[in-house]
Amino acid sequence: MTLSSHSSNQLRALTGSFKSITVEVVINTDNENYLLEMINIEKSFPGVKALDNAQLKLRKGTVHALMGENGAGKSTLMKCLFGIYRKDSGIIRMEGEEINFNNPRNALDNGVAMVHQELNQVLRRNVMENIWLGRFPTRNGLIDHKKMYQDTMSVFKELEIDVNPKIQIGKLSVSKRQMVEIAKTVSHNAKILVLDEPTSSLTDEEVEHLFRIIRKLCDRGVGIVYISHKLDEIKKISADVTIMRDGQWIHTCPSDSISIDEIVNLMVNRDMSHRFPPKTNTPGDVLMEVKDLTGKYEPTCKNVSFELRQGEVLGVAGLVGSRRTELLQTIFGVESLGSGTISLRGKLIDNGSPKAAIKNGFAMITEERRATGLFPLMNLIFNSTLTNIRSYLKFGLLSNHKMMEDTAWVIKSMSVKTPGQKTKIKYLSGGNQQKVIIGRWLLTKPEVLLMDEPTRGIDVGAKYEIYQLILDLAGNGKGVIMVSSEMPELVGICDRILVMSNGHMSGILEKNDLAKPNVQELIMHLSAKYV
Amino acid sequence: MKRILALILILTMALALTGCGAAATTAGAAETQAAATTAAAAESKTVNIGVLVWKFSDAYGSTVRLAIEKYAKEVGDAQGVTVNLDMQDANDNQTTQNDQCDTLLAKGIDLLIINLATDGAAQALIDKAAAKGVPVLFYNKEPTDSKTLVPAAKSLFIGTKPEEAGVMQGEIFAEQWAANAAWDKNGDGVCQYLMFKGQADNIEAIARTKYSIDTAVAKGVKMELASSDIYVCDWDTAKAQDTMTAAWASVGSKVEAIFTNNDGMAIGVIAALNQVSFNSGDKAKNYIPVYGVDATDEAAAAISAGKMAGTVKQDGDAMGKAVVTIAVNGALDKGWLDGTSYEMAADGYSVRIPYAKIQ
Amino acid sequence: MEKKIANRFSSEQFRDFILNYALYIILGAIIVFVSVTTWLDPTKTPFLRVENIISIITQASTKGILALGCAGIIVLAGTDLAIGRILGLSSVVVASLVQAFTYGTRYYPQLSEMAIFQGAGWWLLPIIALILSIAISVLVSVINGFGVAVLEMHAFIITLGTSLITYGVSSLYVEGQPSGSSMSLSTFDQRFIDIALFKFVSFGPFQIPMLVFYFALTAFVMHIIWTKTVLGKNMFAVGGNLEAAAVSGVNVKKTIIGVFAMAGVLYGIGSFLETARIQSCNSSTGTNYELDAISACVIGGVSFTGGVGNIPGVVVGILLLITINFILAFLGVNAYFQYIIRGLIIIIAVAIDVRKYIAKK
Repeated sequence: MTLSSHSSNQLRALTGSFKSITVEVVINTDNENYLLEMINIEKSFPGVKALDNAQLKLRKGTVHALMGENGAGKSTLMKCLFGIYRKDSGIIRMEGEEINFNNPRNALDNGVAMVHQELNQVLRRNVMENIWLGRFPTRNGLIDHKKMYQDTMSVFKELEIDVNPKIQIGKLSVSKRQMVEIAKTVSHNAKILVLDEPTSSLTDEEVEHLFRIIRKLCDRGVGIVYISHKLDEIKKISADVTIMRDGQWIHTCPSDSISIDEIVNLMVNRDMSHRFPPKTNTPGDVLMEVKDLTGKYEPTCKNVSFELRQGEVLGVAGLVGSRRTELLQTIFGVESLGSGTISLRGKLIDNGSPKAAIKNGFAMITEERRATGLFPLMNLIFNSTLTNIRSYLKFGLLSNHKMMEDTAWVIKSMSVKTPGQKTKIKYLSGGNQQKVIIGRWLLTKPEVLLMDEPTRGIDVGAKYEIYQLILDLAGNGKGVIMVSSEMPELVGICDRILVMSNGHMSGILEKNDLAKPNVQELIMHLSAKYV
Repeated sequence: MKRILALILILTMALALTGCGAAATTAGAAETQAAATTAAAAESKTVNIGVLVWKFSDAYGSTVRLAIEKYAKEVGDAQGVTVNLDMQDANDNQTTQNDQCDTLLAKGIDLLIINLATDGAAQALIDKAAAKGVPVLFYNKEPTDSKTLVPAAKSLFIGTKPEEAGVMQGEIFAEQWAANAAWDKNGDGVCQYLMFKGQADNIEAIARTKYSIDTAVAKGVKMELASSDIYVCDWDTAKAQDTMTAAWASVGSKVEAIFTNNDGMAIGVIAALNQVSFNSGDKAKNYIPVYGVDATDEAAAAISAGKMAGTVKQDGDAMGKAVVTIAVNGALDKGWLDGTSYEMAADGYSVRIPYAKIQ
Repeated sequence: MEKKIANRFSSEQFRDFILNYALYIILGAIIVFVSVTTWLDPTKTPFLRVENIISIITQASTKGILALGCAGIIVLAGTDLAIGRILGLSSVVVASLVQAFTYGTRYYPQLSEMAIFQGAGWWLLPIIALILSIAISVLVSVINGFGVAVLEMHAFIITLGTSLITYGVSSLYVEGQPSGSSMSLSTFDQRFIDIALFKFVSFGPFQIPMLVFYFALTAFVMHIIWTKTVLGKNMFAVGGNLEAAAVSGVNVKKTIIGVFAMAGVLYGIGSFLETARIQSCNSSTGTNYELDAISACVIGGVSFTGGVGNIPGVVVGILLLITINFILAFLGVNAYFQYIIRGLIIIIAVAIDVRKYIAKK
């Protein structure tokens, strides 16, 4: 048995790191101290090891921050806890007893609840119905609205939530809806509560209120797993911190024994020298200019201005909700333009619809590959040629010959690994799917490529090939705008990085900024500028 | 902008609907309205009659309906009143019919004529009308348990004898069978036949199916069903055609006569036979007698073209005339049959309009 | 270890194979069973004979053309409940124009007196009828398409609505005949019937009517449209992944309306031919035809999840469906059991379809 390419990469990452971290694994033999223990959790997806020796130990009545970059395995770990994914191996214990939930409902019945970033609520129904959904109190076979109201009020009173239980939930602000969701978990007598990015769309005041509620919950003995990117919050609210990276447990310690800088280093620390291909492109003349770009419908990007040069890879960084995707969609005509202008080679253009944008020489690789990029049930020929379909017409009919020729080009030049052209694309790995999509767009001979998280969900090895592709494209004089949540990737292959914060552009890091050792911190600070 | 568009759309629809409603009344009671103008001058009494029709688009039903409208003025003039008809289409849905009954009663009517959507739904309608003191008159579809139900409600049923169509079909067949020895293809002295039934649970369909064969047997013809079961084709031409094609493939060589519950299915059967070069107009070769009921124009044409053997006429015009004549009597609180030539049937609660043979 | 993987793969392939062909296997088994039992039983006429096959294909032809139209709409992840009523309206209009001049109660008695329609000029009538039939069907279908594409209504709702409207219009039209009754429109000119039923090929006792030829031609043209034109590709793109299609520069609205219009053309042709086949039309003509068309598509592997299907599948689907209907009548199966069996076939077809594309955890 040899080491898989993945684990050897890992090895290289560890040995070649700037700052070696002393990994201290403290095995606590006294289980009674912990409310929840997740030990040596492993989970693999076809081609990707998503969790490898992941650990989490939560004490009763405390907040435990779970930190890591996007893709570090935090949500996969939580999905294993809630039974959304079945873990391959490892042990989960709750109050000393081993548990294995089949689904979130099962977890909830056993006192483990989660409040998602995207709230799952029945927007057209009122607050109390949302709270008691699936377990309405009944009397003589009919729903007891009075009891439902009183029970809701008593929970709200306890948590100091000021919401009318009879109001339609869709009419409440996000923060109020979040509080209702927390109240729901309390009504379930949850002992363990997972909060996923709870403050990403809250104002400072609302955050304060949320923290008050969290403290009350801790007083009741509830243990809280707190997932957040906001570093100062972590210091404020949490007792312990666990840091994950690449699906692995990295470090756990009390919050007050670690500095923000240390946390960041542990989160992003990687060997940068081998993960990215050498940069071969050189930016030239200005290709596209965007001025005061604002989308028409909220939420969207506001007053964004920048230039993109020929042969340049421009990165776009920002937190979830910073409207990076909306920026690309507005440029590409998926979202309606509110105000502002786009010009290509000094000429104003109108990207009113994706079709117009394609005509103007734009291409867009979307973030949600499954939702907005792939035709999973169709074969490679269809997936390769759709965008460029009109060019295959011969006497009014599509020429199979030409389409297969171009598909062959896509497979060859993108080095797509596939059994054949007629294979349904859903049978390919994520990386190969992404290559086909990029190839699809290259067939339209674009000048500007917009890429939204082009390496999401792709294996490390395949990522390298995608990076090489992006740099080659730039090397051939095309302009590339690339949105990514992985900072090392942005730093590794971009020429400049535009940072978005809450819809606004908070700054552009130039080449010399990117060379600085603290570049990731710079990005983080800019990302939080308008939050 | 969208909202304004929607508003305009709704307005247009509302206008169109009221327009349609008005048009329907005008068209529906053109003659009665004409009568109303003259009658209004004479300040004669107006009789408001509600009519619940099971399905406007039913071929036979529509002839009755048209006759009711046609004779309304004539009958009114004879009685010195203006007859106002309010017709409702239940489109074969009993729930709709019950709602329509409520609406008519709420409007205020002197009498309610009912052509049931479902045979068993009479009691509810009778009760509704009785609560408002409105007399009811049934026609066409005989209510279930009519023997006790109709007299109890002081009502009357105008219909045909369900068995009569079957009996006549059987009689036509027995006569023709005796006259055409060649029809007994295999010479076994037994008639191998196929039966196309309209609907499994319909009184008329059941009676037609049963009495056509029973009558033929009573007339001395030995009958044998050629297929393993009778076919049920929902009174539908296309379905009868498809079924006949399959039946032909299976037992076609044996078949010596085909009975259908209505002309629609008979036409479908003939179309299927035409496909295998049967019943193309020459009775001397490749011919199987096909029998229907209704005497629609298409059946009459098929019979005269030599493609069909016979049908039984259900006289919609006569039925409509009887209904409106008797209804006006009822509305004027006279005896149902006062001053008319109609006779009470032996059962004591109904008037039966006779069928006629067409061959 | 490698062997294990290979085994698992083949068992997965086997599962896929069973899923993909389960319905064909079941229906095929029924057909084989009926063929063998009727062949072995000397008292019964054998089922598997050339004439029967021709009868089945003939019956399948008109409904097949409808199914070919509706299949495109199902590929868009939509459905069409208006097919039957569209056919009803188109066919009564066609019927009213092609009645024999010798028939007493014609819809348009005045046609026989117009000089233009005498002799060879009569052929104008079926041509007008065909054009009207297509125009009516396309109009209703495009309204459906507009509802789905622009008003973003669910296809189920808009087609349900237009089916009611169409039914009302066709009932009014039927009652517009001189007698004012709802009598069936029938007794057509033989030349019109021959357009559909003329036996254009006959070898020995086996004669194939024109209908089969039209069906084959339509299926071929549709196959070309589905596989070889931009509209076809865009249709699969919109049905398979609407958002991805929009991002890829597909004009989603135009595609949806186009597919509905295309379906309308086929409904128009189907209605015209069906009128000639059944030779008698009234306002209830076409009732439940959508069920056969939709069932045929589902049996033929056009998935309700959208984006999946092919024309040969639809053709096989309608042939299988009509074969089963034919067998049920051939065996003289009790009418109530016929309903039960047809219902079961549809449920099994959809259940298998859903299993095929269900997400694997």
